[in-house]
Amino acid sequence: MSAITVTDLTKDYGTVLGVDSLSFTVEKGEIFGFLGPNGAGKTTTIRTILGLLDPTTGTATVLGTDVSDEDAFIGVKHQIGYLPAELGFNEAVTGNALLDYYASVKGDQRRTELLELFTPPLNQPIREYSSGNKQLLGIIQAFMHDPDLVVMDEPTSGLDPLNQAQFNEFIRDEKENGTTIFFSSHVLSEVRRVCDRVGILREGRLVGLEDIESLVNRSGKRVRVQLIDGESVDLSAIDGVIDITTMGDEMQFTYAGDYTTLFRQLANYGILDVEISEPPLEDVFMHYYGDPDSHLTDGSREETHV
Amino acid sequence: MVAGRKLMFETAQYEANQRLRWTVGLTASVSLYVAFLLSYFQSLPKEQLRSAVDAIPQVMLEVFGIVELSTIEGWLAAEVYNFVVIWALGIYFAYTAAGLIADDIEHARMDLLLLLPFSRSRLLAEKFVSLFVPIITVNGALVVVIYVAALGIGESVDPVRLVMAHVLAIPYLLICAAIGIYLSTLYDRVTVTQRIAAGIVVVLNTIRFAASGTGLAWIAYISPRAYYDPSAILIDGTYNVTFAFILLVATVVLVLVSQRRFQRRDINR
Repeated sequence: MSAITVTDLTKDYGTVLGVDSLSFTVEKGEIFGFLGPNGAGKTTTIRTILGLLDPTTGTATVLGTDVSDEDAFIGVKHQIGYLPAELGFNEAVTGNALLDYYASVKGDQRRTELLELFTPPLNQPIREYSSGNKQLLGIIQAFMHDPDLVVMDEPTSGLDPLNQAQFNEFIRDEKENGTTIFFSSHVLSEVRRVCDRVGILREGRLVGLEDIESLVNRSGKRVRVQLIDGESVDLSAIDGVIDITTMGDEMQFTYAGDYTTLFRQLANYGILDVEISEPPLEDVFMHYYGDPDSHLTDGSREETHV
Repeated sequence: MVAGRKLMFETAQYEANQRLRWTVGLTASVSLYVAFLLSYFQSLPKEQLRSAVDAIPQVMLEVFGIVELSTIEGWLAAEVYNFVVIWALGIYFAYTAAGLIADDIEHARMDLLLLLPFSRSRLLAEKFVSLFVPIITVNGALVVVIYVAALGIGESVDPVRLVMAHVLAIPYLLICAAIGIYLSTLYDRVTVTQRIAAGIVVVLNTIRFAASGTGLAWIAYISPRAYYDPSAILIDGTYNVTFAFILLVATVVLVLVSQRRFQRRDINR
């Protein structure tokens, strides 16, 4: 039995199509990344999978239960943790009071352990929390009842780099302990670091579904290099180099290959400066999934938080 | 939920706790205002109050439920029960209930609530039940405050009539709250929902007078106010338990309809 099975799922808001005929499966025990730019339909997909929105057509099954069957779904909700993209808490209460309420309904077997890792100021009213602390509280409530599946929508937004790194490590440990993680993000590097498998969503459609290794191989890195006498150098012969732009003695290209080979080649021309970074998500789409505008319908696609 | 965990109104308890300070504030301010109204009654010449009733147009007497003003019962019925309980508290509880669902949706809290292991129907019912606390507290406090304050100004009110005026106010306030929570399941914007709820209670409270003499007198019976008459309870000592029952049944029906509506709707933000 898979953790999540989505079959031909469509959510039509009437004026816009949120997601269109999505089908994918999240296996138990994996970290599944759900990657796409803002407005691609990630939040719509997640909220439909969790029964907050009714699918127009298609089905979603979570932990073996059809989410449209409310009675059956209640039975598995205690095995699900959820961290929404837009976190809403009762701002008047303290973090502790809120966690006490959640605990009274769904349990809090892991609360103490989580509070050693994530430390929002629990005795203060939530209205005094920074966005990072709210996010930490959100993470705690998502895991406190020891769920089998945790669905997180842009979980690292609002976290500072230190907390992000700690969170990513925590997620990997969770996976080791058998928890299934469904993780949406618009940041390619984050998904590459954390996930086992990735589904790529664009304009409400699933445009890719592959192992993270394949994605890494396919998406490559963006390389900017300054070479001595760079203007006369032609790098297109190097395997894995594509999309070269030359600006004076500086060149920028996408590279999906072995770095040793690349640097050996570049060294022949004398390297003045080099910078390697993640390619923007739109570039990945452009190179590997076609022209980014090809699926645009009327340009009015909704933001993710629909 | 841990295996075997029994849910026992945790949400109602949590919601009521959130409203504790608000409940105390509401009870204190209403009690103070009522105590002020009673001391004001003492200072007014009774003859003047009798002639005041004669001077008020009949329709105004009906709208504001004034039968007499020169007795403590008549004064309480008009000033406290019609103005404070029927108008102010009726509107207030409809307004508050109108925020119970819509506010959580508008402020993105509903997503997390709906992932808790209970049904949408249960969430709505528990939120509604949480309003019992302020409704019962304010009515209980008013019984004591009015009884003591009346004694304090050298008057006395029949305690049975006083208690009945409040016991029967509870179904009236519950139906107002039920109207609010139903609207809360229809709209996403809390301020809009609350204004509509308050407006509906105002319309229902006045519709009977607008319809009187037009051949549409039956319309009066869609107004909750037709089923709660504090003047009759306090002045004549008569009350109709069937009417209270009708309000309770209507409340239950409206809450069930709200649950059904909430169960089927998308949680849009």
